[in-house]
Amino acid sequence: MSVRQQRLFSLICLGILLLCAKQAECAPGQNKAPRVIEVGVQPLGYPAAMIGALLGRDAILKDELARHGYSLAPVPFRKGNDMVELMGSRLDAAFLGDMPTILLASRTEISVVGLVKQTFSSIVSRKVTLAAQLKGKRVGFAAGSSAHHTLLQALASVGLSDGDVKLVPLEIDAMPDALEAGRIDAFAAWEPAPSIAQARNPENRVFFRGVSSDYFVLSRDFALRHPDAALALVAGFVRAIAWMRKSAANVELAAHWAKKDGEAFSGTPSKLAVSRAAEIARKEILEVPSAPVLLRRPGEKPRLMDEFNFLKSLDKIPASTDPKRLQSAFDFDGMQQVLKSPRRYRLNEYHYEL
Amino acid sequence: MSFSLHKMLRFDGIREHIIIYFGILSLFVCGGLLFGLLYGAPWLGIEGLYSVKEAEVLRELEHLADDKKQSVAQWVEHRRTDVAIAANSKAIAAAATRLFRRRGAGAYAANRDSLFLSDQMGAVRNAMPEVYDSLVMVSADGKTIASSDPALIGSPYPFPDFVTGAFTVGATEQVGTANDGKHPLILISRQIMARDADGEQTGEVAAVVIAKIKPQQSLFASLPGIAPRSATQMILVGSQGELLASVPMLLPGAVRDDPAARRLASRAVTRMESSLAERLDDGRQLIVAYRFIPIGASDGWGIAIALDRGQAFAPLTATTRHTIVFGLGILSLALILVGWAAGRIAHPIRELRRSVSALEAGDFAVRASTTDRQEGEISQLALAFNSMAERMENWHLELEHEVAERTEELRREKDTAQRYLDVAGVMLIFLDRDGRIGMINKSGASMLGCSEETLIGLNWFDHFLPPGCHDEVKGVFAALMRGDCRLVEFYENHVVTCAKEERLFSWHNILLYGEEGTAIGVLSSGEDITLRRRSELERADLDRQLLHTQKLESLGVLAGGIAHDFNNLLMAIGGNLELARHALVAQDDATRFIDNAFLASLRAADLTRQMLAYSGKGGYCVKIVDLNQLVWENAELLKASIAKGVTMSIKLRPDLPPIQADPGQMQQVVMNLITNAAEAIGDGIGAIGGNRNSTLRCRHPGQEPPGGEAGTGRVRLRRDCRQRLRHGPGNAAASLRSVFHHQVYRAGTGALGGARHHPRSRRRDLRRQRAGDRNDHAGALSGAAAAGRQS
Repeated sequence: MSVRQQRLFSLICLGILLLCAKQAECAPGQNKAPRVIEVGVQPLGYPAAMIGALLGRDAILKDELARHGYSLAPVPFRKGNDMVELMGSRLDAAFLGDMPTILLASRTEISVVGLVKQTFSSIVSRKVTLAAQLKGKRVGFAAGSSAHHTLLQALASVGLSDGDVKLVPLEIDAMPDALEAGRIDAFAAWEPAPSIAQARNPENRVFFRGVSSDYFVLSRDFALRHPDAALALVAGFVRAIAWMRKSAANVELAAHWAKKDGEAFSGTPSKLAVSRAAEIARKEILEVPSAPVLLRRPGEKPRLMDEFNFLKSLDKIPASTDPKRLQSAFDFDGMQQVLKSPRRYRLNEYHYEL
Repeated sequence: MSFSLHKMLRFDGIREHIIIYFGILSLFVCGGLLFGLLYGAPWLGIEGLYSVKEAEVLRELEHLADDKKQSVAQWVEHRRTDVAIAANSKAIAAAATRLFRRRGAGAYAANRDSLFLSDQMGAVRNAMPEVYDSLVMVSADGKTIASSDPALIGSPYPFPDFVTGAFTVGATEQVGTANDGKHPLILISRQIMARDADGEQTGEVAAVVIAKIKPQQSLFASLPGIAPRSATQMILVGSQGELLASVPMLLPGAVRDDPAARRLASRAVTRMESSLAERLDDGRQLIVAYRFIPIGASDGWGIAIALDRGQAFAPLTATTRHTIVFGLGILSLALILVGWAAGRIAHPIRELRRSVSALEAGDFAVRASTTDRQEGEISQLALAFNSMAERMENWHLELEHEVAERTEELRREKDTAQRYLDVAGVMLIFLDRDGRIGMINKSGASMLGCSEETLIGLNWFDHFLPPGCHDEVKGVFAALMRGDCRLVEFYENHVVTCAKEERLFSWHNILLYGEEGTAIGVLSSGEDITLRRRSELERADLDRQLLHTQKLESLGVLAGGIAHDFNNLLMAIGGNLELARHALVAQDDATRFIDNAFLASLRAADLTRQMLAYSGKGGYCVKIVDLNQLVWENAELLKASIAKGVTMSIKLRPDLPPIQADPGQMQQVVMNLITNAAEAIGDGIGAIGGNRNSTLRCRHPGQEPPGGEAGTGRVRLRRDCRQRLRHGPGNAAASLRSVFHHQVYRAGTGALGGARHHPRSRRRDLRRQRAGDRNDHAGALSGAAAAGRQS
């Protein structure tokens, strides 16, 4: 063996050692304590709460994760914006609305798995019938949420800005009460808050809706370091939607679990009926063609790019943010990998712990 | 006609005011009510018809949009279901799987499976030919493997991008849009998953069923009307803004030319649902409801339903217009009624006003008519007016009587005052602020030499003050009127009368003030003190002369005493000189000098006698005197006493008769004349001459003496000398007057040789002397001597 061949052999050995060390660092060993994968869920937002409830009860997912040395820990949050700061550090995955997703993509690297819901964030009022009448009114909102984005859209559509209204920061579940008590003139929120407000007072009406979407998002770092766990999570996500699509009973059971989780989280009884929650889930995700797969046809704008530019124009995100960060977030093909291997990822098996 | 119009336009009557007030109030109230009714008052919680109508229109529009959204969504759902049923059929799935397994080996040739599948596709299409344009099954390579139109089998599907998406794993269904170059198309796909022998999905897509639909007829065949059809517009656009359907129907390319459709299409793809009031560039206003229909995880369609606001609100606008016209009609009718009623109400008031006007014009006998038909207040007002008018009439009569009496008293007082003014010996005059004469009494007018009527209004300062002091006095007067200086209560000044005579007036003044406290003029009483002042001056002159005389008398007494003592000394000097003369020999040269000294002592003795005579203590010695001799003898002596610049020439009249006089006195006269003449010439150069007529003249060089002075024995002092005498050293004129005076005066005592003297003649002489002063003659003593008589 010549000296040159000896040097080449040494380099190959060193590369193999480094690769092994990297693997040892990424995947927990069999004899080590399982790495906890924390997933941010929203027990008060439907249908994300239902998917989160199913993920937390998916025995197959837990088996798969445990097989690879992981354990799952759903972490409840009131709204997606609360998770933005924690993604990549404490949280490995989260269910987020479009505005938090954009904000998160502008701050850190993420991978969007698929669609959680496609719905509307609504602005509800008793006094206002046109968006132009919002000027000078007190409007409840959740800062940084999809509904906040919808409020900004509504104001911009009639030439107003958030400076033209009195913004009142509120929790989503407190908005119907605040509107009823007259503390605010309107609020911007997602389901079920608009339905609750309308059910409480028929005079409350939705005068503006903006399409909003929730996404299942992984930390890019997590997806790269723990691909098995990431794909297992994606499979659990696909499985949850497929299980709900199988029957209305499954949907109602998922809604029931989500309601329990929400009540445990908020400490107050949920005012949303299970049937209403099931209807929301059907409308917003289950009956959406091709959901949760995010299709992108040739020539189409990158997803959420219009919203990204809109928020940028309002200085809600830094002007220097590169839009390619958002575009790359939707390049994750974990969903395709999982769907192409249904047997490997046990997509046709369902086992949810009661 | 013009009078009536004028009366109509005056608007100053109660009736007109009631009409105006009622009209304005009614317009305001009706306008406010109409405005509130139409537009509401949000701050009062009042919703206007327009707001209600707008809310209603919005609600209906939104309901319509929601319905349409729902119907479109249901339609899509039905189509998806149709396609899903076709794709999920076990027979179709099995046939498709067989074709999928045979892919690449004549898969696109017409075979039993493909024909079966084509029959199935055709069955679905034929079941709803108004909906489906075609149903095809496409393989992953984009080729048609079955079709409702079997002729298409094996041909590539014309929308490859859609096929690519349709084969995306997990995208079980897909709804998209396309355009065949003429019409918009809706494409709905459904995946047929490949299954293994156990019937489990392998994760591969065996084929997709794609339905092609022309949307217009299916989706927007009709539009439920909430307004006239021409006022409503509805469009359905795809995710890229492509027009899928519209009412009224538009071709896709026509959207660019329709501003409303262009605006709606651009807004409809913004993935928002709202209601907006849109204003187009051409001025049209639209109320639009936008809806978004999520079609897939990525796609969505937009619906916009627009209502022309003008047409939607046209009934309300017409109703508003009719209401306004109706309201104005009612208001006009109301105004007519109000005018009639106001006229009835105002008639007695107008009658009352007529009575009041008559009363105001002086008709105290006027009375308002009272009838039972009048309203209580008006009737009471008329009664009250009548009572008031009666009392006023009585008061008026009493007042007239009192005024007449008072007027008579005032007239009498005025006459009395006028008499007082007229009898006053002084001028009473009132000057207004401009210095014009406002009042002057008769005495004043008489002093000024004009009538009162002429003087009234004349400016005092311009007409009655001496020239040169107008401006100064006027300035002082103006300052006095402005209050810038204090009034001088007493003063004297000269006044020029109408006859241009200057008179001296003594004034007493008081300043008169108006009600506002400002000075309105000066009231002065003036006294003509011209004569009094002149008398006072004369008296003062006489007093001064008396004092001078008294001084001279004292001086005479003193001179008498001195002369007496001096005479004793002269006696001793003369005696001794005479002794010395006798002691010298006759031819001795000193004799001449002793003689001269002796003569001088004699003359000194004469002087002492004269002084004694002047003081009344001496005696006179009347002798026959030759004046020529006397003058000649004294000439040499006098030459020494006159100034060197004065030459004295003596031309005596030889035929002059001797006179009877005291030689000493006459010598004194001559000496005084010459001495005074010399003093009059002073230090200058002159000449003193005495001619034969005993006329003594003095003149300055260069002045020719006047020729031929008449008279004899006259001593005359010429004017040119008088000036020097008056102002020259020693006041020679005074001395001369004094000499003559004393000559005359002393004549009473025999000083002038028995000339008669009388006090009246003395005063006459003095007057003559003063007159002589005024007539440029210093004075003259003329005497005519004749032998044996005296004058």
